[in-house]
Amino acid sequence: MGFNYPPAFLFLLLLPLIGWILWRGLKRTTATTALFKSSMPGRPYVVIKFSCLMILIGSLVSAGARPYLEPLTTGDYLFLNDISRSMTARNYCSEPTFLDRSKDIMHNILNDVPEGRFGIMVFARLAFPITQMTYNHDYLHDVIDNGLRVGMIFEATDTSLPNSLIQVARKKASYPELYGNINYIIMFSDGYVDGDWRNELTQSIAEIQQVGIKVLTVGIGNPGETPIPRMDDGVCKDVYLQANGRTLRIPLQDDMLKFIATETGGEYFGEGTVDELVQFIREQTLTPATEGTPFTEQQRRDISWMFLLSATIAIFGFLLL
Amino acid sequence: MDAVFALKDILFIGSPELFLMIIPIIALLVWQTVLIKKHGTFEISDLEYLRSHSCIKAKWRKVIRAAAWIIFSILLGILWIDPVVHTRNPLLNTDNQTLHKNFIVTFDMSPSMNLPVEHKGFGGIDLSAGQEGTTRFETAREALFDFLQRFDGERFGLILFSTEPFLARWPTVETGNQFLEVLGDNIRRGSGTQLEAFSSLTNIDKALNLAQEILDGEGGAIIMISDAEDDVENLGTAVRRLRENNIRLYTIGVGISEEITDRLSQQFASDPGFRIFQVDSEEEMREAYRVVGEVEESPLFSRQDTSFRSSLRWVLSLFATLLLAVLVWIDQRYFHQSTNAFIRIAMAGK
Repeated sequence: MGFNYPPAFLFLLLLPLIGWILWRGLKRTTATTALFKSSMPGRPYVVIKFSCLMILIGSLVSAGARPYLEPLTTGDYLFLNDISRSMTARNYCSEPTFLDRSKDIMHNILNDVPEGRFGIMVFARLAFPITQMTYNHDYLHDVIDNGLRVGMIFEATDTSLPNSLIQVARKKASYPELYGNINYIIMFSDGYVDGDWRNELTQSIAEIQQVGIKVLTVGIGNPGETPIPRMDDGVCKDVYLQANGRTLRIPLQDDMLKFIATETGGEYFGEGTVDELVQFIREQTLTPATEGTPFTEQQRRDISWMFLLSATIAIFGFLLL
Repeated sequence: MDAVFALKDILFIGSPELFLMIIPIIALLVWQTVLIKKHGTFEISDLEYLRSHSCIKAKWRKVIRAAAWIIFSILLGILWIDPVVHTRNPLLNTDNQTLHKNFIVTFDMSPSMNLPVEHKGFGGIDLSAGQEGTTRFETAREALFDFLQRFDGERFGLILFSTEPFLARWPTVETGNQFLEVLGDNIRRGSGTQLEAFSSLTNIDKALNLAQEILDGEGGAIIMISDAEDDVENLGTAVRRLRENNIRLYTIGVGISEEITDRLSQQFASDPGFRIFQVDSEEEMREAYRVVGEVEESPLFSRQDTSFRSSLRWVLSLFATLLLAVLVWIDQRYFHQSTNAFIRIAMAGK
């Protein structure tokens, strides 16, 4: 438990004054009962009544010190999101795109791992981080909903998954103060790439292993191949993109994603196993938080209500007695 | 009525239902004051004692005591409902800023930004990796870092633009060294960076459109750093469009012609929300940022985009502590239960 405003405890200096007031009141009770030949209140009565008042004051001061609880564990994770054109695939315009589906999973992870620090990096031909590593999950939700889209980097028709891994590895090596604690990246992709991907991945996997990063891959796609509806002025049409006179269809190439996960010591998860992914993150990747972990208000839980509750009970007891 | 609406706009109640927490306390005080009616007899000497200790009749003492404690209980109820105020200026040191001044910095990534900063126009030799000299890009980047420090705590977004604009950083208050990472690479030829790969043609219109889209509805300022000379008509139209959406535009033109600068400056001379700077050196670059900073800090724009959230619970808790100390003193001094003869004598059984 911590306090945002510890100087508030200076108000506890009022306790001796209030103790003196109560002592004077007790003396008056003694004088009055003697005069009226009545009996003094019992010792437990006095102790309980005085205790109630002390608890009341202590609780109010504690609530004024802005108490909070922080998570005991944390972890740094980078979302590595495919934003190439294939991520707009869907069978019908009424369905969410692959990218929309990956966004839903990211939202779930952020909600279920509130103590984690996350960043978002996107890739098509090039790969760039679009957010800083942050504990501000509201900000990340906002970016996912409003900032993440296909085509946000030039040449979205090309996907270079190996380049994205290399860029992550180089970021960690070049900026250890920002990326140094990342041991897991969570990659969302349909795995749709051309060419000899095993060979192309050799260098990138070596680099990512060298900096100690494991890749948790999440395959986004359908069991069969999925077409890409055409967009006209931002409106989806049930007319599909063609390539070489045939409808362009996107398969879920999970063998490549499984390969990356296995080679880097990570795990592969399907869209239907998000709960397992969250469980994996929570049980196997979180580490104890240190003293200076820069949690935000979103991780800190305000517990002033607990002190208000004890204050309410205490004042009731004080007035009842 | 205006005052009521203003209060609704700034005062927010977190949990109004928790005000019910004080009902048992109020009920107890009412019971003690109204429903307990015990009477007794006492000797004249005792009556004199009571007169000497209080000038108020015992019945009224009970009522006033109950009223004082009810007021305190209401304060406790207010603590429970968690009141929060939103203000333009901070009330307390620990206030959270919830609405920030928005800046979008649009950075030209075209290869011509790789020319030395003193160079005019687009010809000449680009600097490549390993060569001496400061490029336009590097000069603009360093000046931007200083500007970020000046507006620490405000929200900055970053758009890198070339043939297409790219939102490199969704607006965030966490600037610090985070922007260094985005712009840390350089675009010198042969550097092999992602930024160099991104570097291509220049499309100012698309960059401004993207910036406007991001600021949509919230207002803010765009700082555009470019060495491209867009058509005066095009830029003029873009400025008008942005201004209609309450977006300010500061164009820092590296090596652009004086004619364009003058024409646009004259065209928008009466509008403080648009400035264009012609920059040919590091000093002029810093001067341009300094002027932008001063305009943004001027009363005209300094607070219109900001809002602070102040939780009142903790302040009121400390106030309640002080009030409690006073109340306990009054309670023990003037409304002491032992001087309430009606109750004590009845209990004594006389």
